Amino acid sequence: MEEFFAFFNSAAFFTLFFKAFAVFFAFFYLIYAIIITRQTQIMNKTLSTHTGPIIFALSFLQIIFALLLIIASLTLL
Amino acid sequence: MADITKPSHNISHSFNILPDVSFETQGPTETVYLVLRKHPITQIWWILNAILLPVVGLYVGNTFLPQFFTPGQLLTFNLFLIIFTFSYAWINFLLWYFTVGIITNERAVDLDFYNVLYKEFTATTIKQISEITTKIGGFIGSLFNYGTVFVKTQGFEQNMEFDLVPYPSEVVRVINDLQNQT
Repeated sequence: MEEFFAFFNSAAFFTLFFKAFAVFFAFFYLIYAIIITRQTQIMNKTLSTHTGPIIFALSFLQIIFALLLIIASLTLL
Repeated sequence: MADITKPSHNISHSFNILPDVSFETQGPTETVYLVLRKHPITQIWWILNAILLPVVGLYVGNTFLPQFFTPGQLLTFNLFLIIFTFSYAWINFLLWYFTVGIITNERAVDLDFYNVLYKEFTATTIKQISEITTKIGGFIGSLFNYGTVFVKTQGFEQNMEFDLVPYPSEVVRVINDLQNQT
């Protein structure tokens, strides 16, 4: 029992807590990035400009960032 | 005075004459004469936030936090901070870029994106416009020459407004010119 409580006071618990939050937020960010990318497509369709492909690419970049965050959260922590 | 026979734009692309753009409900004979966005000075707060947030965050993160966190945790924290700041700036840019007022030879169109998930599209024919009012408010508005153009229509048609656009009096002049042409 003492070992169980000791775990909650240990650095290992803090690391696990930090990691769980980081992964959770990274997954949420991934969902957000997908929504933004989809909405950018709709916005581009509503108003077409010559910079449309660049704007879409930058929005899509967020999905890559989100995946990067998930990988970083899982491996660096 | 803006010449509406030649394509031109200001440095921030907030006042574009004969731009190379098209919109969803554009008719085959419709020519876009003017595309208006909010004056960039009105976007200064999110731009400042986007600059200050990573600077302050990285400074605080790398000055005070190393005693509490491991290098891996700090690196992850910094990554989150930079990427979230990019997203914050990007979403604000998108809202600014796609919230436009469009004047064509046939219609005046107001396209508003209040957030990424909600858009409002208002349009009226140039002929139906009965009254145009401009409002330039405050020291900053006068200094940078931007204001809101209110376009009122006849009867029960929807009124529209182009918020905080540059050169509001030029916008009125262009609409009046187009009204005289039709």
